[in-house]
Amino acid sequence: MTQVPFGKRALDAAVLLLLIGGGGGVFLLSERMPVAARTFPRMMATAMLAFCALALFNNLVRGVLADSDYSESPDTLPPKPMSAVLARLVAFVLATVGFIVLMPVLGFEGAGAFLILAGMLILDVRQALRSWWVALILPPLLGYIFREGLYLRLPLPPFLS
Amino acid sequence: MDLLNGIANLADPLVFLAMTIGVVWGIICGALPGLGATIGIALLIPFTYGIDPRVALPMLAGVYAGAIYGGGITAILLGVPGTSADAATVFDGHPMAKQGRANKALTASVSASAFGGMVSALALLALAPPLARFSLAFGPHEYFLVAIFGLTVIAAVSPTSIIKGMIGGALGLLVGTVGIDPITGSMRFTFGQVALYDGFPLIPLLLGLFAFPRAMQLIEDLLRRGSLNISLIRESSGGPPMTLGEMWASRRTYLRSSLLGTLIGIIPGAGANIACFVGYAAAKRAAADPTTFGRGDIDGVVASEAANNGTCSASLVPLLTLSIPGSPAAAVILGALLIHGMTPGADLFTRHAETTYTFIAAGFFCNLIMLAIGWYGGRAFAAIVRIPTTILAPSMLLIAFIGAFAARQQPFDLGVLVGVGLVAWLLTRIGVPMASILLGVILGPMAEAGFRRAMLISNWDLTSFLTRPLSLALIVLTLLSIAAGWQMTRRIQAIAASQRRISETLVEQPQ
Repeated sequence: MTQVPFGKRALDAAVLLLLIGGGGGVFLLSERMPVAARTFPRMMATAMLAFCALALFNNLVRGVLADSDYSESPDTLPPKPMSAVLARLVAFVLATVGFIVLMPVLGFEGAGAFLILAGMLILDVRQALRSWWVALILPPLLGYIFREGLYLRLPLPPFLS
Repeated sequence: MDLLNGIANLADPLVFLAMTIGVVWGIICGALPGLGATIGIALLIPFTYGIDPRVALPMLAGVYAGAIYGGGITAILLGVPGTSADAATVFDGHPMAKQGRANKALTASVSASAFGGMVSALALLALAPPLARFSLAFGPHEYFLVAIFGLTVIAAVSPTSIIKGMIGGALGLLVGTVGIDPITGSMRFTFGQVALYDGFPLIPLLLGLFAFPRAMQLIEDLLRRGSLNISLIRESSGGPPMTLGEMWASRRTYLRSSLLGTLIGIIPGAGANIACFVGYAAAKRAAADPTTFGRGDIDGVVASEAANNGTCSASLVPLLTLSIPGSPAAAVILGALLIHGMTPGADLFTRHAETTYTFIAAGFFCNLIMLAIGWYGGRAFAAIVRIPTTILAPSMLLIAFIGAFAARQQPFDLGVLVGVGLVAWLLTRIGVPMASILLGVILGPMAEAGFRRAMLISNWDLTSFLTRPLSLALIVLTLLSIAAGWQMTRRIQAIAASQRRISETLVEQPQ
């Protein structure tokens, strides 16, 4: 347990409040279930609520919270603030959503090429310009291995289906 | 007979090839900082779908062994451990490389890893079958208590905070209730989605819990701090390998660390990252001149590497016998066993005996393959760290998406991966361990079904837990192990922390 800056405490509190909200939601959603079916989920929700309340107490009153699982690189450069990179992180998540949306339309190969290329462009344009060929080679290679070698029915590109 | 058949299966060229691929993939994942055994196994699971389990499981055994060893290569050559399980290898391995003895350190690392892994596999072979037979006597009461035992132990050894571990466990148990109620048949939290009737799909969930947050963390690290500028040191290019005489001189360290690693591996929750420090500390205590440790002592490398690989097969003892995954990697292996229709317990050693013994034997023989690959080609794997995160993160997610899709061929499962992954990323940032969530998901249905069946047959008499001898014994064992495990984990972590502090000081000093 360590003293942590306000930003991390705020994030910790926000996530804990979300979990508390989720725990409360379990009670509402299980209202119509038979008693036997809802007892166990409600017990677990109660346990989660109690532990979240304890963690929130630690955060708000004692000002301490658990060390994050997240381990940062051991280099010496001071990190940029989270707000500076948030837009690109969100863009990357949107690229993964784009992959899911595009896969039935473009097939695995097309959507895979989109994911890798979009991901590389979001993270580092210069690297993307150097390594664009990875986006063209890797998805077809994986598609071939999984379809021919492992008999997986990945969606095909439109011109092949 | 099944054991002999299991060993004979390994002679099949296809199985041998699968083990070799597994070891190489494992070394690559181990060498890449940020991946490691859990992600390595999770990403390889989709490749095992269409394969006979007698080929697929040895491949996973290879990944497990290779990944724990692989982190040691970069620890020695670059001073950056690929996995936390190899953190103690840096202390002596990297100074050795700086002194021009890189090959000696690398060969010491692979020989110790192989030896530790083989000792661990023998322990699994000796302990798992009798323990699994013992589980035949279990009824619903006992299965409930075994599930509770698994949950409490993992919460107690939660690396960040016990409360956050408990939150993860409770959340996992809640997620485990999604789907058709096993007793009444009513729907729970399915929101009308047919894809959720059988509960959350395990593989997309698992990849969402481990692969997605890891990819996001790699990206965040890249964006906030830039790419790591690490390069091989010039002096690390040569030097002779470890000799047989040096191995014989270090025989006690090989054996002591392997046994320590095996013992730690058997304890659910205590993993390779603790074992490497404990092995290192024990070797230092036993050394005639402890001051050489941290300055390039070959025994330091042997101690750390034998101990961390000693946990590999040993961590499967509670998994194969009682369904309790002893580590996140073991939890992922449980997922792989389940998708191949193999449920841990006595069933593994009766109905699937030949496949199970093939898997256990592979845990032994993969180490020999690893020894050959590592002895002659260990240095080549150090170049792996040069793969830029820009390429690695989206490629890793692409393979994870295939894994999520492969199990049921439903686009819904891709959404599960991203949805669970986003939640997991947030939870990881506040210190909720993903392993505790996964354990809750896996053990939850077992705990709930056990408890409700126990109550049905005992007419809701809670004292029935105390009147059944085996059940009572399990309660006492659970309480004892919580107390002992708690104490031991604190002690082990204290040793690890003190070793880390001392060795960090030594590594920081100019060589």
